[in-house]
Amino acid sequence: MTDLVARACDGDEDAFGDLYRAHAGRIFALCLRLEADAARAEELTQDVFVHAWERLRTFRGESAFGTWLHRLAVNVVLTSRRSTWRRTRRVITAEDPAIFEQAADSPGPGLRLDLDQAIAALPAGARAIFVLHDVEGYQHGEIAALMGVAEGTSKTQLFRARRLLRKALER
Amino acid sequence: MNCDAARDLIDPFLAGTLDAAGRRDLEEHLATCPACRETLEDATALRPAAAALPRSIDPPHDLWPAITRRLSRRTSRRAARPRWQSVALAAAAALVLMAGSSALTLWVVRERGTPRAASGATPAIEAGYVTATADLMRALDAERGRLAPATVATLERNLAVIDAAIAESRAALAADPGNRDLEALLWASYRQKVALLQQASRLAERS
Repeated sequence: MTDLVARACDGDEDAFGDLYRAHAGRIFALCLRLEADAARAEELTQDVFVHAWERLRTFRGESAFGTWLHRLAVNVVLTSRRSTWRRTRRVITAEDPAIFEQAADSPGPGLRLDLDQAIAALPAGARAIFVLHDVEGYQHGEIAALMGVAEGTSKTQLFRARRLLRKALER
Repeated sequence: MNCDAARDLIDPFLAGTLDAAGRRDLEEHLATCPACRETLEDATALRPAAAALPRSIDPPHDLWPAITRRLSRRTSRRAARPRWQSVALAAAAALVLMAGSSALTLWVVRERGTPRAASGATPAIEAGYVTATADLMRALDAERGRLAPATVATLERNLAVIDAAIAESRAALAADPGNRDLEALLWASYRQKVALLQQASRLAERS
Protein backbone atom coordinates (compact mmCIF):
# COMPACT_ATOMS: atom_id res chain seq x y z
CA MET A 1 0.00 0.00 0.00
CA THR A 2 1.42 3.38 -0.98
CA ASP A 3 1.90 6.13 1.56
CA LEU A 4 -0.84 8.19 -0.12
CA VAL A 5 -3.35 5.34 0.09
CA ALA A 6 -2.37 4.60 3.70
CA ARG A 7 -2.92 8.25 4.65
CA ALA A 8 -6.30 8.29 2.91
CA CYS A 9 -7.27 5.08 4.73
CA ASP A 10 -6.47 6.91 7.96
CA GLY A 11 -8.96 9.65 7.07
CA ASP A 12 -6.61 12.18 5.45
CA GLU A 13 -8.94 14.00 3.01
CA ASP A 14 -6.05 15.81 1.31
CA ALA A 15 -4.45 12.48 0.51
CA PHE A 16 -7.78 11.24 -0.82
CA GLY A 17 -7.95 14.39 -2.97
CA ASP A 18 -4.58 13.46 -4.48
CA LEU A 19 -5.92 9.98 -5.19
CA TYR A 20 -8.96 11.56 -6.85
CA ARG A 21 -6.72 13.64 -9.11
CA ALA A 22 -4.65 10.58 -10.01
CA HIS A 23 -7.62 8.34 -10.86
CA ALA A 24 -10.52 10.65 -11.88
CA GLY A 25 -9.77 10.41 -15.61
CA ARG A 26 -9.74 6.63 -15.58
CA ILE A 27 -12.98 6.41 -13.61
CA PHE A 28 -14.71 9.11 -15.68
CA ALA A 29 -13.74 7.33 -18.92
CA LEU A 30 -15.23 4.09 -17.61
CA CYS A 31 -18.47 5.76 -16.46
CA LEU A 32 -18.75 7.73 -19.72
CA ARG A 33 -18.39 4.65 -21.88
CA LEU A 34 -20.81 2.60 -19.79
CA GLU A 35 -23.49 5.28 -19.61
CA ALA A 36 -22.91 7.26 -22.85
CA ASP A 37 -23.93 10.45 -21.07
CA ALA A 38 -21.36 12.97 -19.88
CA ALA A 39 -23.52 14.55 -17.18
CA ARG A 40 -24.50 11.13 -15.80
CA ALA A 41 -20.86 10.04 -15.98
CA GLU A 42 -19.89 13.04 -13.85
CA GLU A 43 -22.54 12.13 -11.26
CA LEU A 44 -21.40 8.51 -11.20
CA THR A 45 -17.74 9.52 -10.91
CA GLN A 46 -18.68 11.54 -7.84
CA ASP A 47 -20.62 8.56 -6.48
CA VAL A 48 -17.62 6.28 -7.01
CA PHE A 49 -15.29 8.52 -5.00
CA VAL A 50 -17.87 9.07 -2.24
CA HIS A 51 -18.31 5.27 -1.97
CA ALA A 52 -14.54 4.79 -2.10
CA TRP A 53 -14.03 7.24 0.77
CA GLU A 54 -16.61 5.40 2.88
CA ARG A 55 -15.14 1.99 2.08
CA LEU A 56 -11.44 2.79 2.28
CA ARG A 57 -11.28 0.97 5.60
CA THR A 58 -12.14 -2.25 3.76
CA PHE A 59 -9.22 -1.79 1.34
CA ARG A 60 -6.58 -4.26 2.44
CA GLY A 61 -3.96 -3.53 -0.20
CA GLU A 62 -4.32 -7.03 -1.68
CA SER A 63 -4.61 -5.45 -5.12
CA ALA A 64 -3.44 -2.08 -6.42
CA PHE A 65 -5.64 0.82 -5.28
CA GLY A 66 -6.46 1.59 -8.94
CA THR A 67 -7.70 -1.98 -9.49
CA TRP A 68 -9.83 -1.86 -6.33
CA LEU A 69 -11.27 1.53 -7.34
CA HIS A 70 -11.99 0.36 -10.89
CA ARG A 71 -13.92 -2.67 -9.65
CA LEU A 72 -15.81 -0.46 -7.21
CA ALA A 73 -16.66 1.90 -10.10
CA VAL A 74 -18.04 -0.93 -12.23
CA ASN A 75 -20.19 -2.02 -9.28
CA VAL A 76 -21.44 1.51 -8.62
CA VAL A 77 -22.44 2.01 -12.27
CA LEU A 78 -24.11 -1.38 -12.63
CA THR A 79 -25.85 -1.15 -9.25
CA SER A 80 -27.15 2.29 -10.12
CA ARG A 81 -28.41 0.95 -13.42
CA ARG A 82 -30.04 -2.05 -11.76
CA SER A 83 -31.70 -0.12 -8.98
CA THR A 84 -33.16 2.68 -11.07
CA TRP A 85 -32.73 2.97 -14.80
CA ARG A 86 -33.01 -0.62 -15.92
CA ARG A 87 -36.10 -1.33 -13.85
CA THR A 88 -37.79 1.86 -14.89
CA ARG A 89 -36.99 0.91 -18.47
CA ARG A 90 -38.39 -2.56 -17.99
CA VAL A 91 -41.65 -1.08 -16.73
CA ILE A 92 -41.85 1.24 -19.72
CA THR A 93 -40.90 -1.64 -21.95
CA ALA A 94 -43.80 -3.70 -20.70
CA GLU A 95 -46.11 -1.19 -22.31
CA ASP A 96 -43.90 -0.54 -25.34
CA PRO A 97 -41.66 -3.54 -26.12
CA ALA A 98 -39.92 -1.74 -29.01
CA ILE A 99 -37.95 0.37 -26.55
CA PHE A 100 -35.73 -2.63 -25.70
CA GLU A 101 -34.08 -2.31 -29.08
CA GLN A 102 -33.68 1.44 -29.09
CA ALA A 103 -30.12 2.72 -29.17
CA ALA A 104 -29.05 5.30 -26.63
CA ASP A 105 -28.40 7.98 -29.20
CA SER A 106 -28.98 6.84 -32.74
CA PRO A 107 -26.77 8.74 -35.17
CA GLY A 108 -28.13 10.02 -38.44
CA PRO A 109 -27.72 7.92 -41.58
CA GLY A 110 -24.44 8.26 -43.43
CA LEU A 111 -22.67 9.85 -40.50
CA ARG A 112 -19.05 8.77 -40.14
CA LEU A 113 -18.43 7.80 -36.55
CA ASP A 114 -15.38 7.20 -34.46
CA LEU A 115 -15.37 4.19 -32.18
CA ASP A 116 -16.34 6.00 -28.98
CA GLN A 117 -19.32 7.61 -30.71
CA ALA A 118 -20.36 4.25 -32.13
CA ILE A 119 -20.08 2.64 -28.68
CA ALA A 120 -22.30 5.40 -27.25
CA ALA A 121 -24.96 4.58 -29.84
CA LEU A 122 -25.13 0.88 -28.89
CA PRO A 123 -28.13 -0.46 -26.93
CA ALA A 124 -27.25 -0.18 -23.23
CA GLY A 125 -26.84 -3.87 -22.44
CA ALA A 126 -24.63 -4.61 -25.44
CA ARG A 127 -22.65 -1.42 -24.76
CA ALA A 128 -21.87 -2.39 -21.17
CA ILE A 129 -20.70 -5.86 -22.18
CA PHE A 130 -18.55 -4.57 -25.05
CA VAL A 131 -16.94 -1.93 -22.82
CA LEU A 132 -16.25 -4.37 -20.00
CA HIS A 133 -14.91 -7.13 -22.29
CA ASP A 134 -13.15 -5.46 -25.20
CA VAL A 135 -12.14 -2.14 -23.62
CA GLU A 136 -11.62 -3.05 -19.97
CA GLY A 137 -10.52 -6.68 -20.36
CA TYR A 138 -13.08 -8.41 -18.12
CA GLN A 139 -13.86 -12.09 -18.83
CA HIS A 140 -17.37 -13.29 -19.64
CA GLY A 141 -17.69 -15.08 -16.29
CA GLU A 142 -16.88 -11.86 -14.41
CA ILE A 143 -19.26 -9.82 -16.57
CA ALA A 144 -22.05 -12.34 -16.08
CA ALA A 145 -21.61 -12.15 -12.31
CA LEU A 146 -21.40 -8.35 -12.27
CA MET A 147 -24.43 -7.84 -14.49
CA GLY A 148 -26.56 -10.69 -13.20
CA VAL A 149 -26.88 -12.36 -16.61
CA ALA A 150 -25.94 -15.78 -17.96
CA GLU A 151 -22.45 -16.17 -19.39
CA GLY A 152 -24.00 -17.14 -22.73
CA THR A 153 -25.91 -13.84 -22.73
CA SER A 154 -22.66 -11.96 -22.22
CA LYS A 155 -21.11 -13.73 -25.22
CA THR A 156 -24.15 -13.23 -27.44
CA GLN A 157 -24.36 -9.54 -26.56
CA LEU A 158 -20.64 -9.09 -27.23
CA PHE A 159 -20.93 -10.58 -30.72
CA ARG A 160 -23.99 -8.44 -31.34
CA ALA A 161 -22.20 -5.30 -30.16
CA ARG A 162 -19.21 -5.98 -32.41
CA ARG A 163 -21.48 -6.56 -35.40
CA LEU A 164 -23.37 -3.31 -34.77
CA LEU A 165 -20.13 -1.37 -34.27
CA ARG A 166 -18.55 -2.71 -37.43
CA LYS A 167 -21.64 -1.79 -39.44
CA ALA A 168 -21.67 1.69 -37.92
CA LEU A 169 -17.97 2.28 -38.58
CA GLU A 170 -18.15 1.05 -42.16
CA ARG A 171 -20.95 3.41 -43.14
CA MET B 1 -17.93 -28.39 -34.07
CA ASN B 2 -21.09 -26.28 -33.93
CA CYS B 3 -21.29 -22.47 -34.17
CA ASP B 4 -21.61 -21.87 -30.41
CA ALA B 5 -18.46 -23.86 -29.72
CA ALA B 6 -16.63 -22.15 -32.58
CA ARG B 7 -17.55 -18.68 -31.37
CA ASP B 8 -16.26 -19.52 -27.91
CA LEU B 9 -12.86 -20.08 -29.50
CA ILE B 10 -12.66 -16.88 -31.53
CA ASP B 11 -11.36 -14.60 -28.76
CA PRO B 12 -8.78 -17.10 -27.47
CA PHE B 13 -7.74 -17.62 -31.12
CA LEU B 14 -7.18 -13.88 -31.64
CA ALA B 15 -5.47 -13.56 -28.26
CA GLY B 16 -3.05 -16.36 -29.23
CA THR B 17 -4.05 -18.52 -26.27
CA LEU B 18 -5.78 -21.30 -28.22
CA ASP B 19 -3.90 -24.61 -28.42
CA ALA B 20 -3.05 -26.28 -31.73
CA ALA B 21 -5.99 -28.71 -31.64
CA GLY B 22 -8.43 -25.88 -30.94
CA ARG B 23 -6.98 -23.79 -33.77
CA ARG B 24 -7.34 -26.70 -36.18
CA ASP B 25 -10.96 -27.37 -35.15
CA LEU B 26 -11.84 -23.69 -35.44
CA GLU B 27 -10.20 -23.30 -38.83
CA GLU B 28 -12.06 -26.37 -40.14
CA HIS B 29 -15.36 -24.90 -38.94
CA LEU B 30 -14.61 -21.45 -40.36
CA ALA B 31 -13.87 -22.97 -43.77
CA THR B 32 -17.48 -24.08 -44.03
CA CYS B 33 -19.37 -21.44 -41.99
CA PRO B 34 -19.75 -17.91 -43.42
CA ALA B 35 -21.62 -16.69 -40.30
CA CYS B 36 -18.74 -17.60 -37.97
CA ARG B 37 -16.23 -16.12 -40.44
CA GLU B 38 -18.13 -12.86 -40.18
CA THR B 39 -18.06 -13.10 -36.37
CA LEU B 40 -14.28 -13.57 -36.59
CA GLU B 41 -13.98 -10.56 -38.90
CA ASP B 42 -16.01 -8.44 -36.43
CA ALA B 43 -13.69 -9.42 -33.61
CA THR B 44 -10.56 -8.93 -35.71
CA ALA B 45 -11.69 -5.41 -36.60
CA LEU B 46 -12.92 -4.33 -33.17
CA ARG B 47 -10.59 -5.86 -30.57
CA PRO B 48 -7.46 -3.85 -31.43
CA ALA B 49 -9.43 -0.64 -31.89
CA ALA B 50 -11.11 -1.10 -28.51
CA ALA B 51 -7.82 -1.89 -26.80
CA ALA B 52 -6.33 1.30 -28.27
CA LEU B 53 -9.00 3.61 -26.87
CA PRO B 54 -7.71 6.14 -24.33
CA ARG B 55 -8.03 4.73 -20.81
CA SER B 56 -8.32 8.14 -19.23
CA ILE B 57 -10.64 11.01 -20.14
CA ASP B 58 -10.63 14.12 -17.99
CA PRO B 59 -14.07 15.09 -16.69
CA PRO B 60 -15.30 18.36 -18.23
CA HIS B 61 -15.41 19.88 -14.75
CA ASP B 62 -13.34 19.47 -11.58
CA LEU B 63 -15.58 17.16 -9.54
CA TRP B 64 -13.53 17.32 -6.35
CA PRO B 65 -15.33 20.36 -4.82
CA ALA B 66 -18.70 18.60 -5.26
CA ILE B 67 -17.30 15.37 -3.81
CA THR B 68 -15.94 17.12 -0.72
CA ARG B 69 -19.30 18.87 -0.25
CA ARG B 70 -21.05 15.51 -0.41
CA LEU B 71 -18.67 14.00 2.12
CA SER B 72 -19.31 16.89 4.51
CA ARG B 73 -23.06 16.83 3.93
CA ARG B 74 -23.25 13.11 4.61
CA THR B 75 -21.40 13.53 7.86
CA SER B 76 -23.60 16.41 9.08
CA ARG B 77 -26.82 14.82 7.82
CA ARG B 78 -26.15 11.65 9.75
CA ALA B 79 -25.89 13.74 12.89
CA ALA B 80 -28.69 16.22 12.30
CA ARG B 81 -31.66 15.04 10.28
CA PRO B 82 -34.02 12.11 10.76
CA ARG B 83 -33.55 10.15 7.56
CA TRP B 84 -37.09 8.84 7.37
CA GLN B 85 -38.51 12.23 6.40
CA SER B 86 -38.11 11.82 2.64
CA VAL B 87 -39.71 8.41 2.59
CA ALA B 88 -42.44 9.53 4.97
CA LEU B 89 -43.32 12.35 2.58
CA ALA B 90 -43.36 10.01 -0.38
CA ALA B 91 -45.41 7.53 1.58
CA ALA B 92 -47.91 10.21 2.54
CA ALA B 93 -48.24 11.09 -1.13
CA ALA B 94 -48.76 7.42 -1.89
CA LEU B 95 -51.52 7.18 0.70
CA VAL B 96 -53.33 10.15 -0.81
CA LEU B 97 -52.98 8.72 -4.29
CA MET B 98 -54.11 5.27 -3.26
CA ALA B 99 -57.13 6.57 -1.34
CA GLY B 100 -58.09 8.44 -4.50
CA SER B 101 -57.36 5.41 -6.62
CA SER B 102 -59.63 3.24 -4.50
CA ALA B 103 -62.49 5.70 -4.83
CA LEU B 104 -61.87 5.93 -8.55
CA THR B 105 -62.01 2.16 -8.89
CA LEU B 106 -65.39 2.13 -7.21
CA TRP B 107 -66.61 4.97 -9.42
CA VAL B 108 -65.39 3.29 -12.60
CA VAL B 109 -67.07 0.04 -11.65
CA ARG B 110 -70.36 1.60 -10.66
CA GLU B 111 -70.85 4.57 -12.92
CA ARG B 112 -68.79 4.45 -16.07
CA GLY B 113 -69.25 2.53 -19.24
CA THR B 114 -66.64 -0.07 -20.01
CA PRO B 115 -64.21 1.01 -22.76
CA ARG B 116 -62.49 -2.12 -24.02
CA ALA B 117 -58.76 -2.62 -24.24
CA ALA B 118 -57.84 -3.35 -27.82
CA SER B 119 -54.38 -4.86 -27.35
CA GLY B 120 -55.08 -7.72 -24.96
CA ALA B 121 -51.62 -6.98 -23.53
CA THR B 122 -52.68 -6.83 -19.87
CA PRO B 123 -50.91 -10.02 -18.64
CA ALA B 124 -47.62 -9.03 -20.34
CA ILE B 125 -47.76 -5.49 -19.00
CA GLU B 126 -48.58 -6.67 -15.48
CA ALA B 127 -45.79 -9.25 -15.65
CA GLY B 128 -43.37 -6.41 -16.44
CA TYR B 129 -44.53 -4.43 -13.41
CA VAL B 130 -44.48 -7.48 -11.15
CA THR B 131 -40.90 -8.28 -12.22
CA ALA B 132 -39.82 -4.68 -11.81
CA THR B 133 -41.30 -4.33 -8.32
CA ALA B 134 -39.90 -7.74 -7.30
CA ASP B 135 -36.41 -6.67 -8.47
CA LEU B 136 -36.73 -3.41 -6.57
CA MET B 137 -37.92 -5.23 -3.45
CA ARG B 138 -34.90 -7.55 -3.61
CA ALA B 139 -32.54 -4.59 -4.01
CA LEU B 140 -34.24 -2.79 -1.15
CA ASP B 141 -34.13 -5.89 1.06
CA ALA B 142 -30.37 -6.00 0.54
CA GLU B 143 -30.05 -2.38 1.72
CA ARG B 144 -32.84 -2.42 4.30
CA GLY B 145 -30.42 -2.51 7.19
CA ARG B 146 -29.16 0.92 6.20
CA LEU B 147 -32.57 2.55 6.73
CA ALA B 148 -33.81 3.70 10.10
CA PRO B 149 -36.46 1.39 11.67
CA ALA B 150 -39.05 4.18 11.48
CA THR B 151 -38.38 4.51 7.75
CA VAL B 152 -38.80 0.80 7.20
CA ALA B 153 -42.05 0.74 9.18
CA THR B 154 -43.46 3.69 7.23
CA LEU B 155 -42.39 2.15 3.96
CA GLU B 156 -43.96 -1.21 4.73
CA ARG B 157 -47.21 0.38 5.92
CA ASN B 158 -47.57 2.29 2.69
CA LEU B 159 -46.52 -0.58 0.48
CA ALA B 160 -49.38 -2.51 2.08
CA VAL B 161 -51.79 0.31 1.14
CA ILE B 162 -50.55 0.29 -2.46
CA ASP B 163 -50.75 -3.50 -2.64
CA ALA B 164 -54.34 -3.32 -1.39
CA ALA B 165 -55.15 -0.83 -4.16
CA ILE B 166 -53.51 -3.13 -6.72
CA ALA B 167 -55.50 -6.09 -5.43
CA GLU B 168 -58.70 -4.05 -5.59
CA SER B 169 -58.07 -2.99 -9.19
CA ARG B 170 -57.13 -6.52 -10.17
CA ALA B 171 -60.34 -7.89 -8.63
CA ALA B 172 -62.39 -5.28 -10.46
CA LEU B 173 -60.60 -6.14 -13.70
CA ALA B 174 -61.23 -9.85 -13.15
CA ALA B 175 -64.94 -9.05 -12.93
CA ASP B 176 -64.75 -6.75 -15.96
CA PRO B 177 -61.83 -7.86 -18.16
CA GLY B 178 -60.57 -5.39 -20.73
CA ASN B 179 -61.95 -2.28 -18.99
CA ARG B 180 -59.30 0.27 -19.95
CA ASP B 181 -60.16 2.69 -17.14
CA LEU B 182 -59.56 -0.07 -14.60
CA GLU B 183 -56.35 -1.03 -16.36
CA ALA B 184 -55.18 2.59 -16.20
CA LEU B 185 -55.86 2.61 -12.45
CA LEU B 186 -53.96 -0.64 -12.02
CA TRP B 187 -50.93 0.70 -13.94
CA ALA B 188 -51.05 3.92 -11.89
CA SER B 189 -50.91 1.85 -8.70
CA TYR B 190 -47.96 -0.15 -9.98
CA ARG B 191 -46.16 3.02 -11.10
CA GLN B 192 -46.66 4.49 -7.63
CA LYS B 193 -45.23 1.34 -6.08
CA VAL B 194 -42.22 1.47 -8.40
CA ALA B 195 -41.67 5.16 -7.60
CA LEU B 196 -41.88 4.57 -3.83
CA LEU B 197 -39.48 1.63 -3.98
CA GLN B 198 -37.06 3.56 -6.18
CA GLN B 199 -37.07 6.49 -3.77
CA ALA B 200 -36.50 4.16 -0.82
CA SER B 201 -33.64 2.44 -2.68
CA ARG B 202 -32.01 5.76 -3.49
CA LEU B 203 -32.35 6.80 0.14
CA ALA B 204 -30.80 3.53 1.30
CA GLU B 205 -27.93 3.89 -1.18
CA ARG B 206 -27.18 7.38 0.11
CA SER B 207 -27.40 6.35 3.78
